[in-house]
Formats: sequence, C-alpha cells, structure tokens
Amino acid sequence: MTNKLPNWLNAKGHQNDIVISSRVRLARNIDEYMFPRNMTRLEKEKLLESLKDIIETPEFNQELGKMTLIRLEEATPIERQYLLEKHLISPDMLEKYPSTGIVLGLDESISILVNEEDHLRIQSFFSGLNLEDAYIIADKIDDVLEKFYQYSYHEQYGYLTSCPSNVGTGIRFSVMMHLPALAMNGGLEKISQGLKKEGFVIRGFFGEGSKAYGDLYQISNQFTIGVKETEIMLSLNSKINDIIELEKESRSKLFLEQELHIKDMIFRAYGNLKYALILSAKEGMNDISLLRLGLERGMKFDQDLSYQQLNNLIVLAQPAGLQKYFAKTMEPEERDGKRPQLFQEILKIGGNK
Amino acid sequence: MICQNCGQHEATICVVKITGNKTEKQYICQYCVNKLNENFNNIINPFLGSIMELNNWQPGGDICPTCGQSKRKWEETGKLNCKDCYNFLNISKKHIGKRPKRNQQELYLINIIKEKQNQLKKLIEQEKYEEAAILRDEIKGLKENKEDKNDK
Repeated sequence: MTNKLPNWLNAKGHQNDIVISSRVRLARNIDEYMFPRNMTRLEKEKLLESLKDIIETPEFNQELGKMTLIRLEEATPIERQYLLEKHLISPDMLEKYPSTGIVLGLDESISILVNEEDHLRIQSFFSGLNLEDAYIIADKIDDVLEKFYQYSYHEQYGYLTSCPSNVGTGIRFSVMMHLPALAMNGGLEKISQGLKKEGFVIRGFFGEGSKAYGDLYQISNQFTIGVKETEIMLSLNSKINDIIELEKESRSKLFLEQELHIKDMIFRAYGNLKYALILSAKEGMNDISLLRLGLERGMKFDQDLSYQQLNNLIVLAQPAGLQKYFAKTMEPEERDGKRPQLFQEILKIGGNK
Repeated sequence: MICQNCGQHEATICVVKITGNKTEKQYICQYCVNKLNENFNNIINPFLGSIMELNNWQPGGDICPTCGQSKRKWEETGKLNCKDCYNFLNISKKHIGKRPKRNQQELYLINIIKEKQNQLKKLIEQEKYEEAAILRDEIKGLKENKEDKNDK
C-alpha cells in the first residue's frame, strides 16, 4: 500500500493560499443488487470481484489508466485509518470495512469506493479551487463504469441512492478552505446562514461547531435533485469566490487593526513548532493555520515555508499519518512526543540542539 | 409524537447522531432541525423534510415488498434498503441532470423504431409496397442494432 501523500495537497491549484482542495463525489448503484446495507457478504464479494476484473480491461485502462483495488479487510487498521485521514474513505467505512474496497488511481486523485453506503462512489480530488476538472474526471469515470454496469436509474428521481439526500444527480461537490480571519471575526456565522439559504452547507474539517481547529472548513451542496450538476458547480464556485474575497478583506482588516497582536501570535506559533517537545495534533493544526496566514500575508521566517509543506502536515500530523511517516506503531502519548520531530523535519526547522 | 427537543411541535424527523460506537436518536420537529443543524455532524438532510413526504407508507402496509424494510426502520436510519423503497416516497422535485447514456441511446432507438413502424403502417394502408419493403428492412436493421447494444 502506498505511503505517499495524495495529489490534492500539492498546493499547485488555483487560489491555493486559501483553498486547499476541490472534490467531487458521484453516488451510483447497480440495478441487480439491493443497496449495500441489505446485501449479503457473498453479493458484496461478487461486486468487488467484478470491479477487480473491470479495472484490468483495456477499455478501462485506456480511459483511466492503471488503478488498483484495495480490499479494506486485507489492509491493516493503520492503513485503513490512513485512508480515512487522506479523506479517501468515510468514517463509516472504517467501522464496517468487511467486503468493502477502494479502487485507487496512481496519484490518488481518483478513486472508487465499493460497497460503502452505495455500491459505487466515484471520487475525484484536485488541489486548489478546481471544481471543473474534478467534475470532468468524475463524469468520465462514470461514463466508463456505465459501460459495464446497469445503474439504478429512475425517470423522475434520477440516480437512486441508499440515502434519499443523494438521489437525483448523486453528486456532492466540496471545497476545503482555510478561513482563519473569518473564524476570528465571527464572519463565518453569517456566511453559514447565507449558504444554507441557497442549499450549501459549511462544516469544520476537524471537529464540530463554528470554531473548527486548524481553521479548515468544508463547503458542499445539499441539494442533489432538481438541479443540474453544472448548475450546482457554477453556483458553488461563485460562492467560494465570494468567501475568498471576504476572507482576504478580513485578513487585511485584521493586519491593519491588530498587526502587532496577530504577528505575535504567528511568530509564537512558529516558535512553538520549532521548540516543542510534546505536540498534540490539534495544537499542531492550530499553529499550521497561523503559519499559513502569515505566509499568505508575506511574513518572513528564518526558514522559508511553502503551502505544500503546510498542507502535507494536515494529513501527516494525524495519528495514522504520523505512524506511517515514522514507519512505526505508536500509542497516543508516544505520538505526541514524536510529532514535534515530524513538524520540524517537514518544515526544516528545529531548535532543539 | 411531540418534538423531544422543544416539546412544542409535531416531530417530523428522527435525528441520528453517531459518535464512535454510540448511536443517539432523537425525534424532533422541523424548527429544531434547522436550529440543530450546526451542532450535529451526522444529520438527516433537513431539506428532505421540505421536498419529500413519507405519507405514501400506508398504515398496515408499511413494508417494502422487495426488501422487507418497514417505515419505522427507515425513519430510524434515514437510509433505504433497495431501489423499490423509493415507491414509498413522494419526492416533489424532478431529476434534470445527467442520465445514463446507455438508456438514452436505447430510448432513442426505441422511439425511432416506433415512429418508423407508424410510417410503415401508413405506407401499407396507402398500398405503397415498394417503399414499405425498404422501410421494413430499415426497421429490421435498427432492431438488430438495438439488440447488439443490449448484448454489450
């Protein structure tokens, strides 16, 4: 199983100073089976087997390149946890992993979940703001798979899904954003209400509530029926651009009105990561958030930082990411003691001589 | 049932919150769903209430004949067991996005064949047998074409 980091962290996309990644998910079911929650293990295995064959066909390879099926049952608990931390599988799948699988592309930007809540969940991830490309590739995977399967499709309701909240297009767009200034000045509250009225929802990437740690937020569509895929995409795209503007305004205001205070916080975060001996994931994420803000505002540190380094830490700082990085199984307490080394190596800083 | 949160309105939605292995259930009203939305991570889409009705699930006959799921079970989980469970839902919106290409192609062929068959009938009525023979062969070709697609 691959140890490398997914492409969506590479900070090479549009607006990568504020937008981490764009993602599309399509839910599809196959007509001959009941939904996975009501399938026998044998049926699930049959579906997994069929997918394994399909990804080996020239027709599939020509369109989508080489992809590999990972049966979650055959992966170790840490590997499963790592897939979750890379946002490739759902928390639900971590618990109910028997007879489920993920078909993974080489750079992990495309994947297909098998036997999760729906038979197939096509996923595509891009770094920065790039819903268009994420949609185009997900749509292409859908076209290819459709040649092999008869989907459950209803003339009026569209693609049928196990949860009616996905019925219709079965599509979910989501964009991960870094919004420290809007989190600080309370602007998120208003944005959240505005988004809700138009069928979008914002939630913390880590943790719940309005103040998510690491200031990372995910914005996605709620409606999947009665509106075209491209319409959802365009309207979400324009919402994201509005939020980017608001975040930038808030940052400018913050630095104008409380420059000393905010710079103090940012340099202290840098110092904290440089000299810490014990670091929780939460503390690390909050420091990363401040460094990201400082980087975007053009602040200089004694070591140059990049968005890609900071993005990589979002995944590597998590329990499985950390253990993968050091290729070592560790208990929570040991992990907190080892985490500073991870941050110092990735950021190429280190004060504990 | 009265909303377990505010105790004022009729409960319309069952909210299921899952934390680790623990599952918490609460029957609440639409007003509270809107308020609670921010606090719950795992929540049944509040929009469901506004676009879907469950009234179709008849008292006494509230079991899906295909999968055996009951109305109660569906309300608890918010998930359907099979595609036929959709027969129990009234969704007021119509899907207008992508449709499977395969079905579309088939549908297109079926419509063309139907139309040509009508033309054929007219030609025979008008005793234009030569033209009818050409059209008959054309229809035969289209039908074979359709079978081929089905076999793929």
